[in-house]
Amino acid sequence: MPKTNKKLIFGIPSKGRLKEQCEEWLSARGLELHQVGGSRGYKAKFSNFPNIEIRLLSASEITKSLLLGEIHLGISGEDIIREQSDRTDDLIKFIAKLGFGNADVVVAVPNGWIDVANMADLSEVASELRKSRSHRLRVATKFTRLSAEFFQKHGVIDYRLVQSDGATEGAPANGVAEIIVDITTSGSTLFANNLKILDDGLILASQANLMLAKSANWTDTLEKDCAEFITQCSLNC
Amino acid sequence: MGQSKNIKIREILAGSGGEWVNLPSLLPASIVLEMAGESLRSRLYFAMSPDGEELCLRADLTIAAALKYLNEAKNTAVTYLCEGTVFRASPAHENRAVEFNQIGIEKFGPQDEIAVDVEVFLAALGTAQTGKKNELAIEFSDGGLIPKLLDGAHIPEPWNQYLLDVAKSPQALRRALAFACNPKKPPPTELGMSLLKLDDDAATAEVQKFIENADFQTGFARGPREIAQRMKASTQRAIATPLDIKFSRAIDELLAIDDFPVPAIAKIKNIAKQLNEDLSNWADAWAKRLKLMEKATPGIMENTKIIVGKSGRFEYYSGFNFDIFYSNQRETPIASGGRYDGLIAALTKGRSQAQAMGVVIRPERIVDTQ
Repeated sequence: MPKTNKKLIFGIPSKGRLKEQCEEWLSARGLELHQVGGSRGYKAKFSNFPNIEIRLLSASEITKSLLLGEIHLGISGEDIIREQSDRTDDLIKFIAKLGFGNADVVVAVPNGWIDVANMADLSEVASELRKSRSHRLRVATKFTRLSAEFFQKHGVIDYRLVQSDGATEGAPANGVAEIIVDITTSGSTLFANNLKILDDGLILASQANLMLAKSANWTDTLEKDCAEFITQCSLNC
Repeated sequence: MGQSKNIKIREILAGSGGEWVNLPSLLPASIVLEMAGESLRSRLYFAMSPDGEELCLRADLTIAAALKYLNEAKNTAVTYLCEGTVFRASPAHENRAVEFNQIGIEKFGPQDEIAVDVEVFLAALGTAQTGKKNELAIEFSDGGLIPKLLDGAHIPEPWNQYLLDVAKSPQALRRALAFACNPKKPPPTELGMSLLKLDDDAATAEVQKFIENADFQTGFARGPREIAQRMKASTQRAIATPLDIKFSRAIDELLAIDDFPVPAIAKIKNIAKQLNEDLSNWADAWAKRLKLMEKATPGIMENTKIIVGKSGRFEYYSGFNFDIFYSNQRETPIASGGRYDGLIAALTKGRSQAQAMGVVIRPERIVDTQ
């Protein structure tokens, strides 16, 4: 049970382009972020919303904290939170898509597989590989939950996920897997690694979202503060 | 009370011999997922070995027992009696126990298939009957039925092999049948049509040339030969006469069978006949199995159904399989068992074969009579 907090806790990405874009987005809505303890501090505040405590966290810590109800609001990627829990829609209210941090989670196969254009083709190839090589098609990804759901939806059964936490696009060339599920923005990294996205291989068109944790400790005051904050952001809760 | 119930279950299971064995709790995750399929992943608990190998806590006793058999008793006939905690994460929106005790029998090696099917089933039924007897219900299925039916059903090519490849999954089979029977298929590609006129070597060379001209990369587990073969096969399917809808209807009818054993077998035989397949041997084996069960437990068939399209089984179940429930609790079987003759071959990539049959009991689900 998260402890009762008198302030509305808001998680914002702590570094990188995502942090800059969050700051720009908030600033455009009259919400200037003031980092406590200088640019290396991990707390911040809004001068016009003193009852909001801002925590600067990694994108995945924000989503974990939202799912656990440890923070009330947060900005992070939809791909990250949907990968972390199959109960996302029960636990989280998606308040707004913010128009940045775009990343598509896609299924990509070697471009030399000229006979494979869609998931139905992939399903057949997976079955053929299993029959001829006695092992399942290996799919390198860090999105194991999203991949498994998507492959099941498309009736692909003869595959196995191989955990990959970085440089996933190199997995086929390195012999770690035959295909990948990864995020892409322009597709150029996939293309450079001789991979192509399947025609129906878009698993999730993700972007940064403002999210609310339904299971956080909400008091009447915090609900009121949240409503005011969202109004300030010109959003409908 | 729990202890004495477990003692009774152990005594019943040990009635047909065998040795009590300890099985490892941690298994290589790659082996478990390769055998059971990725649908199990969301139910597994993972751990990392010090040298970086991904492990998982056992989700059942079967794979652990099969690994023990391969390591210690390959090619002999053994009966393992096993008991221990297994671990399965609860699906979202369900509040299931995530670790629970299972007691089971796993029989590997040369065996009289029907006799062992019956022996294991009756042992499981005996354990279930240590609790409330009157409300027991039984479901039978046969993981080998649909592949067997399709194999002998004189389905015209290219559809026969296409359907056989997905026969183990009712969902994939329905999808493949819908495609095969659809008169409006996407047109074949120009390259595919040109490959049809070539022999395998020439088609391979053509595909190689196409890939090089496009500056694509070859390799990645599938070379130009595999690609050319598949393109020829899919082109043949694109221009082939659609499969007669009667096949699709017959398979749908088959998958929908949920009936008492005798009428269910009659229906299955009748459907097979429509597809020009003679399932007499298969039906005789089932009749023998049922007769032995009925003889040992008169009246048991009144509470038993054969459900052809039964889902939820691990992929390695390849023959007769069963669940024993309380009739008002069909989601939570007391005992689940079946034949998995393909598991040892799958674990060894075909280097070893062994017949195998097993069952696990969930003691806490047996409701005491007192």
